[in-house]
Amino acid sequence: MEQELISKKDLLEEMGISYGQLYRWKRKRLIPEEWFIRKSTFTGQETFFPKGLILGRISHILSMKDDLSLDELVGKLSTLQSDIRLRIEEMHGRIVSPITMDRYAEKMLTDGTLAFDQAFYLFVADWLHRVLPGGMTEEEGARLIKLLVSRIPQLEERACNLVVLQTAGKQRVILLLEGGPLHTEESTVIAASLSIDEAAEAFKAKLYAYE
Amino acid sequence: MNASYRGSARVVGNGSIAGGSYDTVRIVGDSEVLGPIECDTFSCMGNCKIKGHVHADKLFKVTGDVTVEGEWSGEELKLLGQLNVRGNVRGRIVKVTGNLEAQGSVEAEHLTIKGAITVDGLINAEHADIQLYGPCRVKEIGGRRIDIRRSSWMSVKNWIKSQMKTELTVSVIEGDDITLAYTKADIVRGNKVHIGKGCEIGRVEYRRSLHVARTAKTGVEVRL
Repeated sequence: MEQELISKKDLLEEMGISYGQLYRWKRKRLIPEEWFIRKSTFTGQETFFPKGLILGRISHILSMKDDLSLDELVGKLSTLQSDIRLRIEEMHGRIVSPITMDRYAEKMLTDGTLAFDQAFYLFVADWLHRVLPGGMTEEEGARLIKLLVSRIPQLEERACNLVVLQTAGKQRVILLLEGGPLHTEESTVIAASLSIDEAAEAFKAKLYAYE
Repeated sequence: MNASYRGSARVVGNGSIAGGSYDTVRIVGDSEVLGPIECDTFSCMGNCKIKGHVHADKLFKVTGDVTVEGEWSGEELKLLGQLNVRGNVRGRIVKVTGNLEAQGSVEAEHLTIKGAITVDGLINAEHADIQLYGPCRVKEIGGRRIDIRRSSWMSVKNWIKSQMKTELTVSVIEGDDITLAYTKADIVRGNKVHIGKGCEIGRVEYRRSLHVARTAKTGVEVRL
């Protein structure tokens, strides 16, 4: 599934903004570098943006800039990324495998889109499903997503690891671990371990990638 | 950094400073900074080579020749002489009299350059004011207001000895309010565009107004 792009010219037209504003927001890192996609067209080189992401981000900036100064806005956007909504077709297969989408995405949807963090949780679930021998059962995945939804926002960007323990009786325990090594007794093994920060990086890289 | 006591460093003559966190760094003469450095104010008269990133919370002032083998970031950059930066330059106020070379991008709210500039990436500034004293090369320029002109001194200098072309070569210029002179560009896009003497522009796209001087050459002019 290819991402839909919008050229810089059309973007300025559509949102009614100027080059000056766009470059100012880029300087303030309100618009990430990865969203600027260069392509050559018959009129020379042009810059394009992922359409859904940039339109959401700019209307978000425009709606908030009356109440907040630009610098206050910087802090808000970088942590929340709350304005990013992903269409389900964009996710399906490209970022998260169909089986995970079919199992869990249904309940999270609001008019065909997912919030950034929800999409991230699906990405993590999908990763675990691929790494764990035999995959995850639907019930395990649901438990995992419940854990992520309830705990990750409270961590406020602190580093943590997602660890899956497997007991001798083939039972799995899923934990979120904040710092420190984890030692297990011999009948229990660590089946998988994933740093949430690294996962977030990988998720963003996939999200903004454009072929 | 934590708010504990940070020392100051001072070199007079020849010497080197370890990287790290300082209040003020003052160099008179020739010196090397051996690692990344973070300080309130940095001032250098003479030569200096910094092996790593630089961050100056308040002021970075150079009279002489400085090489930064990393990124430069800070509040205010005042340069009289030559600055060579391996990475990006990010500051609020950047004032250069002399030569600035950056292999990354240059970002500033107010960018004033009197001299020559070579930037391999993008110049992104709220207001970019470039007075050409020598050949300049930049990949892209973007911002609200962009003024490029040739210094009035150049005509006197050329009269004595005509030398290398004093002009700016750039691929794309995008801004709200653009005034150009002695600029060679592939594409210029803006709201109010003024193309002055000695310009060669491949394609101009404008919204509100366009003014082209008689001696300027433009290829295609498109009103959007």
